Amino acid sequence: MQPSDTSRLSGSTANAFGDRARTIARIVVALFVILGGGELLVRSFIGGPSAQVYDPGIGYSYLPGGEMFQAKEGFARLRLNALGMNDEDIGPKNGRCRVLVIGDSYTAALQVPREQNFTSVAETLDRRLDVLNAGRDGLFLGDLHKVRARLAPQVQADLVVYVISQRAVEADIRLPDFSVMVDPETGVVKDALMRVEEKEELKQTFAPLLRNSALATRLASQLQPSVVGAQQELGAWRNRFSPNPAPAASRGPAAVASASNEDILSFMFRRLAQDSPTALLYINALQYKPGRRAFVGPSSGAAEVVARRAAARAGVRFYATSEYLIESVERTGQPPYGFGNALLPGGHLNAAGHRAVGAALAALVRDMSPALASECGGR
Amino acid sequence: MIFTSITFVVFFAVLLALLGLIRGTPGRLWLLLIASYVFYANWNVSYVILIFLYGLWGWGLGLAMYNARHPALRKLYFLLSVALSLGTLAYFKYANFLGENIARLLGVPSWGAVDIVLPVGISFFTFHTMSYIIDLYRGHVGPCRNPVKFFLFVAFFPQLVAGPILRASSFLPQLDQPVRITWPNFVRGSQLFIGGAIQKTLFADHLSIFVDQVYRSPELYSPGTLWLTVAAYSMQIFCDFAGYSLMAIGTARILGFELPQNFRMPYLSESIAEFWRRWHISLSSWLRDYLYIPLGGNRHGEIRTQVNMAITMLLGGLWHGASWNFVLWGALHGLALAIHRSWARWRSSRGLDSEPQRPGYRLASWAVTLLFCSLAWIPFRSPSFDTTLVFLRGLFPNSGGSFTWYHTPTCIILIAAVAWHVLDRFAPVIVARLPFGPHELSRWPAMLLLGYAVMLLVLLVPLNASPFIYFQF
Repeated sequence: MQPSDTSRLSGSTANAFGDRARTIARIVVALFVILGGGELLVRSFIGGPSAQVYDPGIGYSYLPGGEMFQAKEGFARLRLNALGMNDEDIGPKNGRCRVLVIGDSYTAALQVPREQNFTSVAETLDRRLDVLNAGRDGLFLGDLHKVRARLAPQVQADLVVYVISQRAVEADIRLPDFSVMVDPETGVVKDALMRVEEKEELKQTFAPLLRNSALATRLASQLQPSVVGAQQELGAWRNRFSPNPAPAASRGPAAVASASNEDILSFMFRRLAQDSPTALLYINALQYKPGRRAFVGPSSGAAEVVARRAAARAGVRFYATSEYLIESVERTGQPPYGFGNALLPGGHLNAAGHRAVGAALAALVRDMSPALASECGGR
Repeated sequence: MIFTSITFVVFFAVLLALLGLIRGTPGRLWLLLIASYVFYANWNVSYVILIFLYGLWGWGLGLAMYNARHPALRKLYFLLSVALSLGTLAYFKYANFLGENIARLLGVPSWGAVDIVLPVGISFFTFHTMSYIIDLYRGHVGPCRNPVKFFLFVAFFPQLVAGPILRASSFLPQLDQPVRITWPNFVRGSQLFIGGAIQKTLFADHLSIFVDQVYRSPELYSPGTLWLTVAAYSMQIFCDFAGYSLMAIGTARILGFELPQNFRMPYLSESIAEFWRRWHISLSSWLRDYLYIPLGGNRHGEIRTQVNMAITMLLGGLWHGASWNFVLWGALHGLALAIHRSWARWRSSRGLDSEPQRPGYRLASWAVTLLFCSLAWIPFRSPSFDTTLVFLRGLFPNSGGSFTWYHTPTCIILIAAVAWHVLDRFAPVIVARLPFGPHELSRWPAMLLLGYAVMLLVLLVPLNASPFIYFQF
């Protein structure tokens, strides 16, 4: 090989190295551009970073002062108050009747702007009310009393209203993480506990990332079911070829099976009704017919009957929202559930639904006022 | 196992790794056959035996037929194979339908339905097997002596459950070539797969959220919402099926196999005849070659041609499922084809077809074809004949329900779909430019486009993804 050839070879090696370095640099830059674009896209059209804080008592609660945005169902940008509630910061009562509302996603109302949710509607309908929204999406019936124990002393509520739905009274008490202790001799329910799911602890591990990145939050919620599904499928395959296949997972603790839904609900409602005046507000699921007609769905009606009986046994006032929701359908011709960008009807309460439930809540307080403190019209 | 699941990604990655470890085509063909059975077993282990049996009688009777000296014996093997394929299909797919209708005809109050689980994709692998036997009988293909190759032809997993319907003449010769995974095939196959996944998960699955809800109770929704549903379902079924086909073609391409194209922008068709040359091409060409032409095609006069077309479309409708709704859908298409044929003949007799068509005429032809195809999907999608009638009634002003729902994602997808069709119609060069060559992957447009495509897929795939519509057929 001639010297000149050697120099050409080293030159071409250097060129190849330079090309590779440029390609790698381009890939890295492209990755940043894609991730940055993804973050912007998610923040603009899908949802904001996580506003959840790991909570060993109830799995997670909302970040005090945090901001929320979601466009998955409805569209809302919300700022949480200092207690992590979807409400204004709490001021003095100023002679108003303070109602603390606790419940799951129906109460949290993350789908509508704050001024449209039912707690705000109730305040608008009755200016003497100061309604505090302590809802949290996915909050289990078995955890409602923990939220009350935490918040009621701080906010000095005159009345605590628990918002419950068919899911809460039927499905929640059959969850595998829910255990009910029954006295083996008398069959009386002694205790009911909800175990915090393991996945919630992961939120603490990844909190810094999830709280700052909407993209990471979205990816986590998207990928989690797929990963769990794949794990289950792999487990099923392993089981299929295993000489000793594991039995199918049991559905909930055996103790639950020995107590009726009504017994369990009655125990839990009694636990909710300690200390201060309490009421239950039941959100009915509707079915529809042409011509602006609606009626309570049979399963929702059946669940209501059980919950109503359990509430009567526990000595808690029980109110249903069906007549308000049905009237809303007759008046507007639109369902009280669902959104243009999600299901209609289906999912959570929309603005019309919140108006109906807000009216039901105001009526509930009016009905209970003789039993409440003077601010609420009682003696 | 569906293509858009993590399970499939893991399955396919393991398969590619194993293919890399095995040297030599025979071993790789064995691996592909086993993988195909595992793919199907993921849905139902016991029905793997059914695909095996299809392979067994297709291969065994095919060879016996080929080797038979006496024509009568040859015919007997042929008829036996066809009867086994069609009989199995009829048992699994049409037993209850036939029973119910015969019971109704005889005035028997209730038909004790047989508890049968319909094997996923049975219509597809029945047609694969039949195409081989018919082609072999006609002498269009030679016999496949290697059982592994034939069993793989029947069970090849990318197209096993929803097509494209394979022809022995195009696929079996590919099995004689070395099985090799090459970088250009990998890149092109991956791009096709991602394109199909976008159609399925970003478009079809989001549209199904809206469509399924409306079809559950169409009487509640306003005419505007129902018209939007008509458009949405037209696009959903196209994106669902064309998306699956693309993923199947892409998966096969990665493995080094070429599957036939199944769709060519069918909603750009300017006549119903053209629609059937662009929609589910592998089925329409199958029906043409193995049903319409054997019936006589257009060789026995106009009336017989019309009858042959009607029979072909009715059976094509019934192929999709055991329901009068599918028969109605097939009948509507048969009728439309007959009308179009008569119209074309009338124009031809006046010498009008020799002139170049005016833009206005072409636009009207396209609009009428699209409207007809979209409305014909109503019986196809409706769970019952009553729902079809309720839906059709609701399309007229002041006759539907009061719920007004213009689903935002549906509207966005439809706008995107229109833009995509317009682009394909008027600027096909841009569309043709989109698949990047392997050497272009490190360039900006390719990196960003592929990166964002994958990101959108992960971000926007609905969590409760619906299964592919054509799995049920």
